[in-house]
Amino acid sequence: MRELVRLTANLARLCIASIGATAIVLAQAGAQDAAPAGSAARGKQLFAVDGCYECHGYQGQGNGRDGPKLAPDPPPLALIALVLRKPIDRMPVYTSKVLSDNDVADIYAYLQSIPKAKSVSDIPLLR
Amino acid sequence: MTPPYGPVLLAVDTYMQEDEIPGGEERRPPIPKLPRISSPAGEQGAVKEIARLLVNADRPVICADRLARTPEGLKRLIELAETLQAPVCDTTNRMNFPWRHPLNQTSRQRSLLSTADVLLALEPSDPFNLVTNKDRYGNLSPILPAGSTSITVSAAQLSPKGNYQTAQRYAGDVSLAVEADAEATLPLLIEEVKRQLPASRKSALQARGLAFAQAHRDDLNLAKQTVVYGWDDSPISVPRLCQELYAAIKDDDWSLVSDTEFQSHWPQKLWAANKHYQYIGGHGAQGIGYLTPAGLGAALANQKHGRLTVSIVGDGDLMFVPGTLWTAAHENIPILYVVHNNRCYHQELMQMQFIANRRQRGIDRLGIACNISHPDIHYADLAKSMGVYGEGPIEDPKDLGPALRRAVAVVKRGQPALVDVISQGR
Repeated sequence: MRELVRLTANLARLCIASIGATAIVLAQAGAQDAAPAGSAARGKQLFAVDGCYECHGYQGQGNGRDGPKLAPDPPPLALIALVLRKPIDRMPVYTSKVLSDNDVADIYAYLQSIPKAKSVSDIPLLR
Repeated sequence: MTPPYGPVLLAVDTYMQEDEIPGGEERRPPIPKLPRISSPAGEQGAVKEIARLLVNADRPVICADRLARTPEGLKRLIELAETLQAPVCDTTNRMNFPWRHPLNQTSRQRSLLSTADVLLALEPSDPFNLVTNKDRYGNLSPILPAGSTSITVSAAQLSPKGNYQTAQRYAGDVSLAVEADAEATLPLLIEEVKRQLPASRKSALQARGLAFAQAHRDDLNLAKQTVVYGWDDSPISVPRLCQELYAAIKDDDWSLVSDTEFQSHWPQKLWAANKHYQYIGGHGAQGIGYLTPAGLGAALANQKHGRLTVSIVGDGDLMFVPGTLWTAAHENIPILYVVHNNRCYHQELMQMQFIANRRQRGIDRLGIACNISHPDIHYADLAKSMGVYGEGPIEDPKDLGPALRRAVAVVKRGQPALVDVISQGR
């Protein structure tokens, strides 16, 4: 069980590492964010049904540990898609059998729809 | 009697308990006098060697795990760290080091270890994992750079019950393993470090300390910037839960008697704690059903000191021993239980997600044996049924602060209370 907790706890670090490594690949390839327009409403459902919220939170806010922040201002769609299809370490793999390209586009639309957060100075409990 | 301390099970035959002592009172066996116990400290030569390595290190790192077993452990670790101006990474398994101390660099553990020239691990429960990366295919790679020196001081090695049970996987790259109680060793080590530390090193150490202080402030600011995302969300975000609780207790003499593993350690990242009783530490076994009764035991210990005891328990944990609530009411033990209710055995759910995705099957059935819903449990009603003040379920984050303040008022009157918070997973 201790091993299980530890491995799961590594998700954040590994997801971040995965995104970082992939970002380099995308930058080198000149990849662009050429995605089909998705449905934010359906993407919101998929974000919950397919378990993204488990580590990234229902608003893609991340949890500072098991999953990095995905929204607002999500990384490029191509980057997210690449991490979903070929994650490293403990990020679950989402093949097209599990999550179609259209599903990914819908989830991305949901992430894009999430509004900006308040600033720290606007939250008395964080001052 | 001596470290490593741990639970002891004494099983006595029922008939032996009930039968009269053979020979009557005159033959009653004597009860031995309890001696004063001297804990095993590190051997002098080894202590000198550790001090030499630490004093001469450019990038030392102190990792504290199951170290502080008395208030002295906390004080001594502060003294060692400040003497060396060395960063401390705390596993949160004990209240080892103040959470807002400038040298607390827990959030930077991986990066610090990757450049460390000397690692001092105090009572590490898993030395192998501390210094090893493991990828999804099980490939291992060391975290410490080549040529670094790894030191462990641990009483666990004095009475191993089994290699995996006691120390997890064997850590083969430890340079110096001192089999001794780390807390008992710290006074000797501090003295030796002070003796060996040349005056010429002090300005360099001061500069090192200032850099870590800035890093600590940066990390705190980053943590605050991180938690604004999802702040107003429902289910309530876990850092929001933690901060609302902190706001309700921070002006009192509080004591958090639950592990923070499942709250992603947000209290350590955002709260200020510097007293030995302000955090109970981890349970060491990742069991479920520990937090609720263990917290009550700690609350009982806190009661005579007038401390405000709070515990963040998972809904899954509370399912195992709900009768603890009745005990709290029956015995008038003041404690605030805040239920981190994600309606799930969330740790298990994340693991199932990983495996099901990898195997490409069963992905739509992850909730089986993981979800705690249909029907949803109303923990406030459960608490009320056992004589405990209950609030919730709280779903709107705006309602959480007032509910916690009402519950804290009940606890201050000497009674137990529970607030059920519908929360995010982590």
